Amino acid sequence: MTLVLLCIFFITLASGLPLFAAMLSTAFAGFIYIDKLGQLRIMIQQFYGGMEPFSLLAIPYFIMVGELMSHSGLTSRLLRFSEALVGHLKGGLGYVTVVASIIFAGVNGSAAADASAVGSIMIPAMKKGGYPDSYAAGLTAGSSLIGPIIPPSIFMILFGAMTKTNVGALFIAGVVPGLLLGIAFIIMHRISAARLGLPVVNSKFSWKELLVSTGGAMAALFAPGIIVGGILFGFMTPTESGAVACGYVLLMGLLWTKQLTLKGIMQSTCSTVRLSSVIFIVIGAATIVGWILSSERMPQKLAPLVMEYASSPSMVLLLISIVIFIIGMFMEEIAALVLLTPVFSPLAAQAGIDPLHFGIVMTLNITIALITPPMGACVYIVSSVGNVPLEKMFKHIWPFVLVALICQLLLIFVPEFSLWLPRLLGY
Amino acid sequence: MTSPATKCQAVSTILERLCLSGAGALLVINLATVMLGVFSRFFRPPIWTTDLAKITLVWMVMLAAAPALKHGEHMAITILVNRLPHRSRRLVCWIRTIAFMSILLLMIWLGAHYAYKMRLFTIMTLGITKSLPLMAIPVGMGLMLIEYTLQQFISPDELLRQPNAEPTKTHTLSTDRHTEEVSS
Repeated sequence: MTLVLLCIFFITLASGLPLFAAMLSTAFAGFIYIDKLGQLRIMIQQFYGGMEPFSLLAIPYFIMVGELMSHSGLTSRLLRFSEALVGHLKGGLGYVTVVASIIFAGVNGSAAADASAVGSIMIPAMKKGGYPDSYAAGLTAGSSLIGPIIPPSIFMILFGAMTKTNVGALFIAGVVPGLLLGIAFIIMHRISAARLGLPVVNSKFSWKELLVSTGGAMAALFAPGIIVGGILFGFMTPTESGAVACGYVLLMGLLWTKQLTLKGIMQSTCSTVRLSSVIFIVIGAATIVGWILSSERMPQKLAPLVMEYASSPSMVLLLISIVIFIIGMFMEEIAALVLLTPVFSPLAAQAGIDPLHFGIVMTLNITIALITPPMGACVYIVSSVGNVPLEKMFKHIWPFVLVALICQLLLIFVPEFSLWLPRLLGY
Repeated sequence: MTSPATKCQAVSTILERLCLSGAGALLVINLATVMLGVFSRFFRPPIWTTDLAKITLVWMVMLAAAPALKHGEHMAITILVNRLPHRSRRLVCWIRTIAFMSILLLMIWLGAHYAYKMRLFTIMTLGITKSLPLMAIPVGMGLMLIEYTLQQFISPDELLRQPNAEPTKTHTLSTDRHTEEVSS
């Protein structure tokens, strides 16, 4: 049955139907196939139920935080701070891109938002500085992967809501893997900077500039503290921390930078509601398809197959990761996460994999799909904001995918990367 | 005399403004509700904040679906269809239009039917009928259907109008708000 549903899904998607409509069509076909046309109300129950969990409320909040930051001038202040910090190194602009992505990751939960915000400023700057355009765009796309790993993360919120895993614990578990990914891209850039002979931006490091830029970026640098600190000390749930972060950035934009205008707030609100709508409707539609797969005992049927080839929990994770990597190349990330999590999480539990470890591996898996052709969303974004031909991007993105995959392997085979910090903090 | 396309454009703009105003207001209410829940925690926390936040979220999502559709933000892959010969492309576009409208109609019917069935159940914390949040689905799908129909009059599929049009590949993303159109 799964094969039939997959065929219907890809045919409807290839016909140009919007993703959510392709999923709803697949779900309808699934109901016909399993002879449950009399229970079509389940479609509405699942659609509504998929969008309703309180923890998912954090998604629009973190989108709003990113939007407000751009309109309030905090984004450019963060970039100035990053430049003061690492701009004096050889190939400094590349380091600025990675460091800015790490800092951005601590404020908003979406790789797309990171790629868009950082890329629109850094790619033109790198191109001007003599970087090959495909490398500049590739590095921006690669670094944006840090976004959904370092808290907050939209993917983790979704994973937590579906598997009833503590989202706060997932956030904490993402800190070390996110930094690992950042370090991996810094190492990669160091090697590339030497090989490509990339230039220095600032001739020398200036304490004065660092202090001034830190002062300017202070408001933005506090935001991750509010989000993670609020969760860590038990004052707030991740959803509530998102709401408070929204209020905080709004206040900072109005009172600190004084660059946030009524027009900026309206634009941020409109973009947030539209983007949230797109994401939630896909979540709702994918939940119906997921219900059909679960009711047909798909995870239970899959378990013996995987267990036959995998001898250890790490091997189970590796097999799951390979499957998700392939599917992620051809499927939108949120849809892939909503569809595959219910299928693979019982399998991971059966193999004795810690839910936090599985959550982080799953999140990185889905995140990598953001830069794999032909459907990698971040590749399209950087290609657009950086004015780099898409075909060129698809050709040159693979080294960055490889770096992310090496990190993925490390996370699979060394669970401590994901589990050390949450355990230390008592999760 | 104004053409039907101009009239439809005007209706579409009004619809978009109404939907976005409603969705934006709901987002503000939603944010305020959750923040109220956080800051009143140490005094007398109201019990209705969670339920109100969930309801406003679902309504916000469904109201903003039509404007998102208008802006081509619902992710769709048209690259394959655009590479088909004109005759086949035309056929696929017609089937796609009918399929999309049918699925929207199905969701409107199912959603309205289910909301009606749930009218006797009450959300205890708010004292309102469960039909109220559930109505967001048929309303949102209905608004999308209206918007999609208007778009058919405003700019019927370009591929149908231009037999010799240069093939383009369009990738509209759900996560980025960007629509790429790259001539191939």
